[in-house]
Amino acid sequence: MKELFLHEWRLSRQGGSRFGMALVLYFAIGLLVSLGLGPDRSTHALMAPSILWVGALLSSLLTLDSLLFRDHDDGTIERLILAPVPMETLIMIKVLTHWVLVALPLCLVTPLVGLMMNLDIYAGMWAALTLCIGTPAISAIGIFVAALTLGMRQAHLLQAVLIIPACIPTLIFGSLAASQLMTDSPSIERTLAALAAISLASIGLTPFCTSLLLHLNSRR
Amino acid sequence: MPQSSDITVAADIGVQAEAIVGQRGGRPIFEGLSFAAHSGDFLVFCGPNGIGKTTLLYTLIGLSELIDGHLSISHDDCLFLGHGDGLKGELTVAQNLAFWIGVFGGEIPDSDQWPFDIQKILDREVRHLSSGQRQKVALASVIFGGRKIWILDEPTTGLDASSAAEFCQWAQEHCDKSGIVIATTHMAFEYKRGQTLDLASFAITR
Repeated sequence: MKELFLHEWRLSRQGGSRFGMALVLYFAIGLLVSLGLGPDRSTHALMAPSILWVGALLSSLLTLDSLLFRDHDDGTIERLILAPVPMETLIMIKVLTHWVLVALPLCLVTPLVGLMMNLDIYAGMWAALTLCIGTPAISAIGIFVAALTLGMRQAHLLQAVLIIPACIPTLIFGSLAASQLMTDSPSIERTLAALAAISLASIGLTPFCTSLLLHLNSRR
Repeated sequence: MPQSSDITVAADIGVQAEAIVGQRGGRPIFEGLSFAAHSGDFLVFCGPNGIGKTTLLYTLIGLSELIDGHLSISHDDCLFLGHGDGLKGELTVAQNLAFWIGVFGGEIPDSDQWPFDIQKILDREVRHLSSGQRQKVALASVIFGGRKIWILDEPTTGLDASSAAEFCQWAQEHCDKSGIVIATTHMAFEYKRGQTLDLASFAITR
């Protein structure tokens, strides 16, 4: 178990440039959109929550393809099926490392990206909070979809087609929560609860579904 | 081949197959194959390419469905090494070994106990190794994996003659400690010790 985590961690750190990519893309989206929106500052703050959310979503999706494909190709999954560690644990560890190394940095820089969109630093922190609550769902859904398309030709295309609808509820509730937090809306509790529920449900279900998929996928 | 008829000694049987029929891609590929591997047995399946050696191993570890027959094997005792070695190129040999040995609950040996002189390349990244060296690292992870039954697909591929002989020694030593080794090869002469079983006589030819 400890070995699994260390191994995942080392591997992800070695693939650091990809994770750097996610950050750069996030900054680029924030910068380009704020330039593209023109000089009217009031629209910026209005649209900022959704743009931050879309940016974070796209950036973290960028790194998902690497989650399982290599393990499938190099025989890791085949060998791990006999290991005493349940496959579910492996999946959970993968989700966790992906979240810590990709999504968490995105959450942390959100206040900075928010500044570019004319959000004050507190509003940026609120947005970061909603991202922290919502992004685990994206990591979890991502690995599930990666397992679903494993070993297929044109898996990347299929992955993109499958993952976008799967992430829509998270996006809707996430950006709604962010804008409600900024405007102090009374229904914020409900929105945050829904967002957290999506995250928890995805994390809870993903290890089992994904592990089942991996077992089926290894059959020949 | 020792065809087990005595069920009362089943406790010491590691793997028992009775008239199994295996398939690849839904097509039956071998039939009527029976064998038993007891503690201490070193079994080598040989035969030309495409005869179903790998499929047999996949059947044994449960990754390929059995069409017919009866197979008894405890997967919790097995360690499988196929063509994909599961080694990560960007990690060092030591890190890869720590992972594969640790995950199966084996123990990392002292540095002078590694097979194939692996201690000399422990801090090199796997992507800089030759394919033979990679195979040695993969085999080392099996040797110290702490599992009773080794199921190995062409383990000597890429090894030079003396390393192949060294591997056979390790396998024999494992068997002497009442382990079981089941390997495939298309070059049966490499194995002077184990019992060989020619899969060609069970193949379904179309």
